[in-house]
Formats: sequence, C-alpha cells, structure tokens
Amino acid sequence: MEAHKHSSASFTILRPKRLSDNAEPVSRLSHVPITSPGSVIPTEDHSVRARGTLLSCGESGNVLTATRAGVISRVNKLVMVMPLRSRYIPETGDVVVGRVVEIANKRYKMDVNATKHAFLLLTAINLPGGVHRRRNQEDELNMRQYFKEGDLVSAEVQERRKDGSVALHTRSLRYGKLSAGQLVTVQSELVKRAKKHFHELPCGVHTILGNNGFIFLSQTRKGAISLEMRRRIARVANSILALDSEFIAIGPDTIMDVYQTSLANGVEVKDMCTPDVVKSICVGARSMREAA
Amino acid sequence: MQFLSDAECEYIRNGAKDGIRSDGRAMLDIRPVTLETTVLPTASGSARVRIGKVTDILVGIKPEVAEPSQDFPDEGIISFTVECSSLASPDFVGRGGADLSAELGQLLTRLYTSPVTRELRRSLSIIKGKKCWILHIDALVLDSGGNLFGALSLAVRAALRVVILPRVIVIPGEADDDDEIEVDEEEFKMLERSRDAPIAVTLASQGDRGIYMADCTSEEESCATASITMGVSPLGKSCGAVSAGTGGIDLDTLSSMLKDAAQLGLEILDATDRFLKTDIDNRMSGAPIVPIGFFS
Repeated sequence: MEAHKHSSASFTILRPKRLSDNAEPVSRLSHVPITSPGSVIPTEDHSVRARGTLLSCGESGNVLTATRAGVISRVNKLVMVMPLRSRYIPETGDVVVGRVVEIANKRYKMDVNATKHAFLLLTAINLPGGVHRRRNQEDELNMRQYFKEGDLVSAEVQERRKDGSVALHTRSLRYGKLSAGQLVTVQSELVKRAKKHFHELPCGVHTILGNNGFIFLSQTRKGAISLEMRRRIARVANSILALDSEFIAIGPDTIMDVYQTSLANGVEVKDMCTPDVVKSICVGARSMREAA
Repeated sequence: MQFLSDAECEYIRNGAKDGIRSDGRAMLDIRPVTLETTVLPTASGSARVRIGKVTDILVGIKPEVAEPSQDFPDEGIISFTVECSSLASPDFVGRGGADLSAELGQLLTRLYTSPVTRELRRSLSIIKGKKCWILHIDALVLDSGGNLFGALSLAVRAALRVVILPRVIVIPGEADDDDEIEVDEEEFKMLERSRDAPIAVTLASQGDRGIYMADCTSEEESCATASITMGVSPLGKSCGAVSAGTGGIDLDTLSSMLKDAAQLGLEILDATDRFLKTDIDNRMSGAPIVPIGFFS
C-alpha cells in the first residue's frame, strides 16, 4: 500500500484578480440586445409584454423595463427577457440527467436542477430486460429495486404540466440508471438543445450532455476502468468546467477542442482549473463559438 | 451534505485505489486556493479564502479590551463565532447550519487554546490579571464545497497575520493594582506572534486500507467513511486532532495519516507565509489597501 506515497503535494495560492484586469475590449457581442434590471426596453406600439419585463411609468408615459439581466427576445409583438443565468427550464423532449431524491406514490422524485423536482412515474420506465410490468401493489413496493435515492438517471422530459410540474420518462434503451462514472455540473444555459446528447468522444469517454446542466461522464468500453481512462475522464471533466467558467456553449466539439489544446500545451489535468490556464485553453473553443 | 449514488462512490473509491481523483489530482494534492487579506474595511483584520472556486470563507477580527480569565491571568482571549450562511447550502437554511457552525467553532477554539498558541495568547495580555485583548473572530461560511476545516483555519490564520491592534500605553498608578491604560487610536501594531497560529489539515479515508485523501470535494466527503482533522503548528507540532465519520481507520493507516497531515500542514503554512509576506509588509507600511473583495 506504499505505492501511493507522494514526495510532495501540490499547493498553490492565488490572488484574486480585479475584474477590470482581465476585461476584454468591449463588445464583440454588440449586436446582441442585452439588458439589465431597470433598463428601458425599446418597444414599438402595441407590444405585448411577457416574462422578464415590467410596465412602469416613465416621463413620457408608460415604458417597458426589464426585471432581469439577459437577452431581449422578440416574437412578433411579444417582448421578453431571457435570463443569462437561471435554473433549468424544462422543455418537452429535453434529455436530462437527474438524481432520485425521493420515492413517492408510484413515482420517483428527481432533482433536475429546475425550480421544482421533476417526477418519473413508475409507468414511464422501462424495466431491466424489457420485462412487462405487472401493475399491482407488490410492484409498487419494489420500486427501490429499479432506482433508489441518490441514483443518477438519464431521462427525457415527457411533458410540462400546466401546474408547472415536469414529467420524465425513460422509455428507451438509451435512458436509465447511470453507473461507473462521474457527474459534472454546469450552467444549464450552456448545453444547447441538439439532435444528439449522447456522445462518444474520440478519446474514449462517453458523455451524456443533459440539458439541465448535469453532464455524466463514463468510459465507452464496458469493463474495468484503467488508470489512463480515469485520467482522460478527469481531463474531459476539467475541460467542461473550464468551458463553464468561461461561459462558452458546451458541445462535443468545444469539449474536444479544450481537451486537445490542454494536451498540446502540456497542461496537467489537475492544473486545468486555475484562471489563467482556463483562459488560455479556451481560446480555440471561444473563437469556434463566435464563428458560429 | 450532498448525497451520491453507490455507483459514483464506487468510482471515487476505485479511483483512489489507482491514486487519481475525479478532478485529476493525486491523493494529497490541494485545489488552488484564492486568498485575499484585509477585505473588510471595518474589521481590524480580515481575510477571504476560496478553495477551488467552491468553498468560500470570510473572516473578520475585532479586538476589544477586557479582563483576562481567572485561570489564565497572563493570556489574552480569542473567541470564535462561525456562521454557515444559508446561501452555502440548502442544508443550512434556518437552524440547519447550527450543528456544523458549533463543530467548526469548537475546532478553532481547540486549535487556539492548545499549548502551541500559548505565546500568541500571551502577546495579547496588557496588564497581567487585569487587562488583555480579546479578539472576536467571526467567520462566515459563504459557500461549502468540501474541506471547510482547512479553509476556515487558513482564513483565520491569514486574518490574524494582518490584524492590527491600537497601541496601548500602560500608565503606572501609585499602588500596584491601579495601573491604567490608554488606547492610542493613532498608532497601530501588528500581532507578531500570529505566525504561531496553526492550521487544520483534514485527511479522509474511503474505507480502504492505507488510502486517504486531502482537501476533499463535497462529493468525496460524502462517500468518506472516516476522516481525521489535525491542527499543525509552524513547528510541525500537532495541536489537537478530531476524527469524524462512522467508519474505522486501522492503526498503520492512522499513523501514516497523522505523519502526512503534519507534513502537508507544514507545506501549506510555508506557502501561505511566503504568500502573505507582501500583505504583511503593506499592512505595516500603513498604506491604504483597496480590496478586490467580491468584484473578482
């Protein structure tokens, strides 16, 4: 057991940086209408206000002001402010990774990083081996056989009910309990809705990009995880966290770009979270997203 | 406390057996620490410590002249209040953080009442048996992402290193026991013996023989079976150890854990002292310090 002895542990102390120190030349995003709480939103006549806006009295009659920081979005006459950062807002069809927090009457309550817990009905899961569920009470008593508290489950949003609750389902072979891997949590805005959320990265790491900002990493192959594989998973995890702190959209392309840049720059996995390093390894990914 | 699935715990444990953790660190590596001193203009000394962008601790020190305790007439008093902000975790809402706050406060009290900090306490004495400084050290846990003990002790120590006390002049009275004191509001002095202040190192074991890790993330903490927190003084001496968790640690592992904790503590102390040198110099020179604080 002496194999893991270390001659010296790494310990670095950093000084916080003034925001103005790393401010960039202003506004490559000047074409995006960004607003902050209290700012007046320019409107045409007969606009309809939606979430994130407030009608308030200005000097020249009523004006529309923003109630949160975000991007002004307009759909015909409808004006709303989409927040830059918020909890996850579920939409039907989203792929999410959730954690079972409670087992209730015929349903699992899941934490999906939304304002409310989502629920996964017992009728909405595929049983292991594809057996048909016998709808009786015994079956309900055995719910913990499938998922228990703390388990990570990948699922899809089935619908958003009128009362704001969210129903999930795992009725596909893709979805189900997740094992042998690690969870990385990012801001949910950074995971865009895409055709594919299950990716096998070229480095042999399997990622599930949950729309709710929960990303699950595991290895593609079945079987025991080698040390080299663990290093790769850790590097992918740190790449994702780097993208998160730089506020760059997360997809397989950006993850791999950061991964490769960090490798090319000879950055060790554990050093990938210091601010300067994060900045330098995310340059490629940033320009990638700006071009898009 | 975050709760994990068995699969995640197993992943962490198996990784520990290979000597690698989920963020790529080796077992005894510590996440990058961000440290700033003198962040609160209204406190005599303050510090904010962040570990790995998660754990976030703010410490402020306010001195006051008081009477020393009967048992230790020639020592000053250091008192701690730790509060866990409910911003840090939903567990802390309402009374939820009370237990943890008490536990953290207790550990700090233990560190600062141990013999290794005796000289530090004695330097706070003004007139033996009559007057001494009492340092009220208030710590606020703003965010918790593992290794609270380590972060907290580091922040307290950093704040103590930069604390300034008003100069006190003792005016001798006619009889022996009516000496009076005058607090000079113009001149300040630093606390020299603050370099004696210890820090706490926590090593956690996941239940496997001979395998333990330093500076756990909250995920790692929630699947740890046992942990040892040890205070380490700058001379490499231990000043109190606390164990936590429900699991056991076998003797061989324990002795090597304590040895590693002391070693690690010394390295941390060494690095922080080197880091704080400029802060202390700035503070001594009396130049105004513009804190970066929360705008970073």
